[in-house]
Amino acid sequence: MHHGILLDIGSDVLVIYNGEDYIYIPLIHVQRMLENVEDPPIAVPSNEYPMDHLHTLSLRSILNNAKGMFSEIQVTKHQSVHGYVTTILNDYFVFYSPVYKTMYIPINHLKWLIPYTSSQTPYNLENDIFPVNPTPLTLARTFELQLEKLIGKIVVFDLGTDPDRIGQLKGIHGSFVELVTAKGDIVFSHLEHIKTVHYPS
Amino acid sequence: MDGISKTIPLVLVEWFYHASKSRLHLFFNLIKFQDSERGTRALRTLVFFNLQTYVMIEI
Repeated sequence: MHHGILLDIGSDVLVIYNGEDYIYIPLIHVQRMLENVEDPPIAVPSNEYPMDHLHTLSLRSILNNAKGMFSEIQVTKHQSVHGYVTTILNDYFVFYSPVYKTMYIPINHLKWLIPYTSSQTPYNLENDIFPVNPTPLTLARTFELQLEKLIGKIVVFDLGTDPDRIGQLKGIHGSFVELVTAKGDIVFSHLEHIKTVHYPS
Repeated sequence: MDGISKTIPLVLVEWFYHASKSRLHLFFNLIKFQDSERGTRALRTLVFFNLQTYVMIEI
């Protein structure tokens, strides 16, 4: 549950301020909203938005603005990832995390994005640790086509919290992705339910 | 936000306006509207009339 002052609304995203951070939430993921009468009110921020809202406010414009800017995102249920957006394609974007390295994330699985408002870097790393163009592979237009480029490689889906989401990518059959786990089990995952993909470099 | 009242039926806008005015119906549930254009438009309207309100959002 996110608490904050409703600040702005765009075509497919809203912005709240929780007293510390600006949180950009795609409307498609909003399940419930209620007035917060439990907590003491917080002041409306007087500083400028961390991103440009003047012309258009949409998820795609937010992702574009977030390119190269440190931010925290949530895609899987209980774990957020820190890093920065590097590229936005048709239905997915590329996110660089110092922990997971290059990640491919379908846009419709992004639950929220919080841009860093200070000059802090994730984990207080030095700026030169972060590559300008970290993607070793060329990028396909769609998430499915990008996954095809990873056939034969070890891949990790959804941050690897489930052992069945880590394995060798054997192929893509229609909407299903075939993975061979460490124990040799074959697991099929529906493409639409893959939230993140990264692979050991 | 321009054009909201043009793209949403007036009656819906009025309903949300009065609901937000009374602050009794800010609570709402969009599960049944998920993935629907109507649900997104309704949510946008509700948010529009409740900007600056302190809310809790479940995602």
